[in-house]
Parts: sequence; structure tokens; C-alpha cells
Amino acid sequence: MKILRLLFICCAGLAMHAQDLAKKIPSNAQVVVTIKGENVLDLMSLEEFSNSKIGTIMGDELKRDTKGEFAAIWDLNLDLTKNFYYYLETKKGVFYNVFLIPFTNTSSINTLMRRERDRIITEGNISYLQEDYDDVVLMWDSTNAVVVIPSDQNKEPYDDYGFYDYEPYIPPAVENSPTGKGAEGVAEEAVAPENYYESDAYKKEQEAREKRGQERRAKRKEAKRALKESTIAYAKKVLTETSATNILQNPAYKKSLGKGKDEMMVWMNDFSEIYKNALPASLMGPSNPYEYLNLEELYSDMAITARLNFEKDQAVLDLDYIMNDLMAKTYKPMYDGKFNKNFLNYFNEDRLLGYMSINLSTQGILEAYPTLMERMFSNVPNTGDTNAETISAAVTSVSRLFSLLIDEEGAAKILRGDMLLLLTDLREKEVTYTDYEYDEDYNYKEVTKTKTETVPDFLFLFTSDEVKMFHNFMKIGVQEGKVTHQNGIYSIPGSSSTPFDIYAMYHDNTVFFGSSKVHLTQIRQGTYISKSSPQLKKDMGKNAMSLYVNGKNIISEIPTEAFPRELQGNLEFLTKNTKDMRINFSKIKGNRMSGEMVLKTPVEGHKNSLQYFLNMIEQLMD
Amino acid sequence: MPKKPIATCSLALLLLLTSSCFDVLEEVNLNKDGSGSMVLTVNMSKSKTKLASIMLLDSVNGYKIPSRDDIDLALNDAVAHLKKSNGISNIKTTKDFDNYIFSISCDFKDIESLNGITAELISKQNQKGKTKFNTKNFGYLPNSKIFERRFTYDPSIKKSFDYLENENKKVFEDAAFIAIYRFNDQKVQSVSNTLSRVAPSKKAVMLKIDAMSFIKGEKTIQNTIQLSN
Repeated sequence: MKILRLLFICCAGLAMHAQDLAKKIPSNAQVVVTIKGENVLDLMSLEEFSNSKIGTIMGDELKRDTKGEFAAIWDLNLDLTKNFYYYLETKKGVFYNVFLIPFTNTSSINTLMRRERDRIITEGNISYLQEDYDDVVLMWDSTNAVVVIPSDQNKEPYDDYGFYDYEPYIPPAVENSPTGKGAEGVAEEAVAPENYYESDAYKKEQEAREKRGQERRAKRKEAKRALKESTIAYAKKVLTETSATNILQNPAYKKSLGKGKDEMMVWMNDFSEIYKNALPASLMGPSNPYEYLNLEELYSDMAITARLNFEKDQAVLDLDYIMNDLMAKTYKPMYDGKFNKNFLNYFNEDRLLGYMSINLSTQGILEAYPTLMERMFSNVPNTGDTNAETISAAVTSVSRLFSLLIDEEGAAKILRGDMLLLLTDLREKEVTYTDYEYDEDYNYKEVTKTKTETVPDFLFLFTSDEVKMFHNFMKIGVQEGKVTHQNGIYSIPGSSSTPFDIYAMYHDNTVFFGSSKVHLTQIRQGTYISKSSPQLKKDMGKNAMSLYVNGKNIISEIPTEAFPRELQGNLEFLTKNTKDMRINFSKIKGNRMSGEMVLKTPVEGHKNSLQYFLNMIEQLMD
Repeated sequence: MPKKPIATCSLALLLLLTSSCFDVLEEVNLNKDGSGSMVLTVNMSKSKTKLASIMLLDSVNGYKIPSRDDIDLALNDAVAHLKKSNGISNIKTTKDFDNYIFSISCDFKDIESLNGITAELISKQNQKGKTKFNTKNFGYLPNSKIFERRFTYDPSIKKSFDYLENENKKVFEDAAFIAIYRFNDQKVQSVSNTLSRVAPSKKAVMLKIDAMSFIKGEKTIQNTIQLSN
């Protein structure tokens, strides 16, 4: 669709600073996305982008669409001194997805929409075009364009497909046969649909069905007409009016703006409103479980801000999750796990392919869970809905009972909540397979042959004080003949359902499960030489969740033949240009949980991380 | 949701690292009167590390992974189909989940009975997919002493392959089709398919072609074997 293609080009084609179009965003918008063109252009000029492979493809598309009138992206006359925006506003169950696009001169839109020229409506100094199928509106004045994509959440499911027009045929009830025939005879008499289809009763029912169908179709037609009109009215309001209460007056949004050095920012606010509109009662039916939940209490005053920064040697996505006081108070003990510093003694970072570390508090989770459940159902007793009240009472009673029965502190002794999964190495392993040997008459016998395969080594650790319980579990395995025990290490042999031989042991308040016996033996004997950088220690120790992937190590150690053939020619490029990725989520501080995703990019051959991505795409497109 | 989440990260890497190849083995033992036996074997033993990993997941590359029960059910379905086919007897299956080798075998009264097993399925496929596969895969003329393995290449094979994701195409890169035809009381005089080898005893013919050549239509399994007493 041409309007959406224009949007894509505009978003990918960049734009600039200044807050002017932000004034058109209502203060109650639930999502706002900003592309800060000026910051993007600092990283890559429009000319550089146009000369790239993606830019050339876009230019060619434009040339084709405009029959050669446009040669490149700059012919679109996008105003490169302003920001581009997307926002979402929900109104009476209708999602309005709105794109605000600044132009230096919107005459280019007429050229771009040459095939749709006859459908363009002009009223004063505004022109617009509406798609019949999805009611999307593109509207523009001399310098700005707005695209509104409506999504009506009030529609019945399958409404577009006329599902409810269909009413299944229910044959008339058949009375017992007066002839005294058996069940078989009755069945034979009952199956006479041709007679029924000709009967007056059927004709009457058919008429009623058709009438109901017509009413439904008329209702749908009216709803569609209303949505069409309201979308045009909405677009006009956005384009021609500047609201006094715009998003710049929203304190939560203002707070999220930061220093404004990011290339892109996504801000989401008020989850409860989005949930409420996304899942209206009409959509879920009378037993809508979301009607029972106290979404307001859970999600009010919540906001997520994501900022994307392309720096010289890394691309960084920062996330801020702000929650309300109640949620922060409930969640804080869940995420307040302690990191077992001994974990750092069990791996060598130089060989590490990746890890995932989780520091939660089992005790905190078990204590907070019943409270959370109670809060979720806290508004139900006032609704007057007996069904909902029963569910609420049952849920809160069960969670309370659970809380009374379980010893939270005792459970935390089994699993404290801190755990670490390490991909420690890639190694070659000899595996057997069955092949055939043929005699002179091509009769064959099965023979066992061997080959080497590269398999990853992993190690999974978690802190536990329950040494006795661990050994008891393992003893059961030993007695069942599934596990063997030697020098404190339990071996669980690989089978057709487990591709690894797994080794387990308990050492220093930690349970170990791993694929390398040598690794576990060295740890047990205290001869394992570990290595970890201050950065890694900080990431693992201070965060609630941390993930690391050493792209360079992985790519260089995977055998060439394991890559898809089309990538094999690019392996040198990939090895040279793949670096590390880190994702961290902090513990809750105040009302905030912060996340950060960092993708390191090589400096050599790339002006900055944005150009790195374009270069990567170009290389892999070849 | 993976069945064993702890190992999922390792499994994902393992899937990438380990090879995935398989052999399909078609054996026909033909008596002079046209009766005989057939065995169809799928040997995925070379990929067993990968398969063991895959079996721990629910789906890979968008395809649902069959469980042991699914495989059992498929083989039982095949047996039920063979039991309904005319002139087919002594149906047996073997399942080796440690090495991932599965086979199904049966005796047939004559070549028409053997063709009858798949004729209806192929005919339906031809109608549905507008393809032109032979509905009769085998031919035997006792008087002329000619045994035929019929096959007409249809471009739909390549089209279906092209439709697959690149990662899924890899499965076929090292796969092979092996056909062995053994003749009791008769000797092989000549073969039409130059890729096939005749046993020194002249009592059997073997043909091995790689799956990629078969998919692209570069090599065929079509073979006409002239027999003599």
C-alpha cells in the first residue's frame, strides 16, 4: 500500500530536531515514538544513505512509482530540520495510530500519489486521501503531513468475515415413530432434508435469517462509515489545530526526554488504558477474565522509555521502566537477589561463549506472590458481579493458604534464587552412527562408524544450602541405575532423548550441572583457573538479570560447514565484524527498573555503529 | 515452550553445529514370477545428535517436531494402509529411536500389488498439486524379462524445495537415495541408468544418488533392467 510505503521511506529516510510537531500530540497519548533526524544525520548524511544499497533500492522504488520524476529520497522534500513522530491515542475503544511527517514542500506528495490523484480531496489548504479497505487517511497541508491508521477494538471477532452471518442448520425434532419401527427406522424417517427445505417452516426461518443478516450488515456498514468519518475528522484536528494541552505538558513524558542526544526514543505510558482498550469486554465475552483484574492498580502511572543511541563503537538501547509505588513495593523484594560471588571462580572469560545470570530472591517471590494476587483482585468485591466475587475469593484464599503452608525461608534454602547458565566452550566429540556395508550381491549388514561433531559445553549453577536433599535425589538415580557416582561427581549418561552426558555435583553451597566432567573435576579439586573482567563481575553481581554473548568467539569456533552455504563466503567478514552483546536489567531502585542492551561494533571499516549495520546488511545482501 | 528449558541455549547452538543428513533405502527382491518383497528404510543415524536435540524442542524453523508417539502413529498408519492393499502380506516395521532408523517391509503377490500401495496416494497428489508423477512406480514384464523403476521428474519437486527456508534446505545437502534391486533366479543383462552398478554375480543392481541432484532433476532414479535366465 502506497501510504504505508511512504511512511516507511519517511521513517527510514530520517528527519530532524525541534519540538514543533510534538505540539500536535495530545497529552494523553499512550505511546510516542520520536526519530531525531538531526542526530541521525550526524551519523550519516542523506547522500551517504541514498548511495547505500538500501537507499538505492528506495530511490529505484521512488523512480518507478513516479515514472522518473523522483530520482532519490531527497526529492520527497522531507524537512530535515524537524523531528518525525508516531503516537498512539485510544478513544472509546478505537486505537488511532498517527504519524507526523514534516515537509519543506508537500507538492512532492501529489507526484508520489500520481495514480491516486483522482481520489485526492482538497478542502481549502488541506488535501487528503483515504483507503477504502482499512480507512487509513493521509492528509497534508503545505508543510506537514499526517497519516492516521485507525483500529476499532469494538468490532466483534470475525466481523470482517461475516462469521456471524452463518447460522447452522438444525433439523426439526423428530417424534417417535407411530409405526413402531426400531431406532433404525426412526433414523431413516428423520433424514428427509429435501422435504424440510421445501417446507413453509424452513422458508420462514430462512426469511428470518436473511433479515437478521441484513440488519447485521447494515450495522457493520454504519460502523465502518462512522469510523471513516471520525478518522478524517481526527486527521483534520491533528493537522489544523495545536492543542493547548499537548504531550509537552505531560510531566511523565517531559521527564523521559533526557538530554535528547538519542537517535530514536520510544515512550509508553499508562498501560492500564492500553489494556482496557485492547481487551474490551465485547471482545472477550461475558467471562472476560480481565474484567476481574485490577489493572488500574497494577499498571497506573507506569511508563516505559526506550532510547536508541548509535555511538562510534556500539549501539545502545536504554530502557527505563517506571512503576507505581504499590508495584515497586511488591516487586522490589522479588528482584532483590544476592549474587553468589563463588560463581566467578568457575569460568574463564577468555573462552566464554555466553552466559545468562539471574539474581532473584526465592523468599521475596514467595512472600510477594500472595500480596500480588490479592491486589490484582482487590476491586472485584465492589463490582456486584457474583461470579467475579467468587473467583476473587477463591484466588485470594488459595494464595493465602499457599502462603501459610509454605516456609518461604526454608524454600529459599533449596533454591536461593541466584543462578547462572554458562556456555563455556565448543569441543569436538566423537559420535557413532549406523551405516551399511554391502557384499557382492548388495546384501548389506549394519556397521557402526564414528565421526566427530562440534558440541557446546555448558555449566548451570545455582546456590542451595540443601546438600542432603541434592545427594538424596542423586541417590535415587543411582539406585535406579540411571546415574553413576564417582569422586563426588554424578554422571547422567546421554541417551536418545538427551544429547549430552550430564555431570552433577554439590560444592561450596552450589549445585552444578554441566557437560564437561573435566571442568567439574577441576572445580572440585580447586585447580580450575578462572578469569573474569571487572565489567563482567559488575554485570553479573549488580543486576537482577544479565546476558552476554561473545559473538566473535562463537563465529570463529563454529566449523565453516555448519553455516548455511550462502553465508560461508562471508565468514571472514562476519568473524572480523562480530563483537559482543550485553543485556542487563537492574534491580528496582525507587520506582525504576533500568535495562541496557549494548551491541559492540568494530571501528575499523565503519564510521559509526549505524553505518556498521548498513554495511552489514549490504554485505549479506550480496 | 521447550521441554527442558535449562538446556535450550545449548541446544540452539547444538542445532547449528551438528550435521543433518539421512539416507532413504529402497530394496526390492523380485522372484521370477513377479512376486517378491520390499523394504523401505529411513536411516537418520548420522544426524542422531541433532535429532536428539530437536526432539527436546517443540518446533524448529517453524515446523512442529514429531514426538515418539507421532512417529509410532505414522508407522501404524502406514501398516494399516498396507494391510488394506491387495496382494500385500507379511508386513513388518522396525523402530530404532537410539539411532533413528525406521523401516517398513512387506511381501507382494505381483508388481501390480506393489504399485497398488502408492497408486491412489500419487494419483491424489497429481490432482491436488497438478503434478505428473507416475502412479505406477514399478513395471515387470516376465516374458520380455524387463524390470522397470519408473520415475518422471516433475518441476514441483524443485519448487517445493525452493519454498523452504535456507536452514531447512541444509537438511537435504548430504542426504542420499539408495535403491537395491535383487533378482532371484534371473541375471542382469543390462541397465539403462548409467549411475547404477550391477553386482559381480549379476543378481543385483544398486543405484545411489544424492538428494540435491534428485531434487534439481539432474539425476534420476528411473531405470530399466534387462534380465535373462
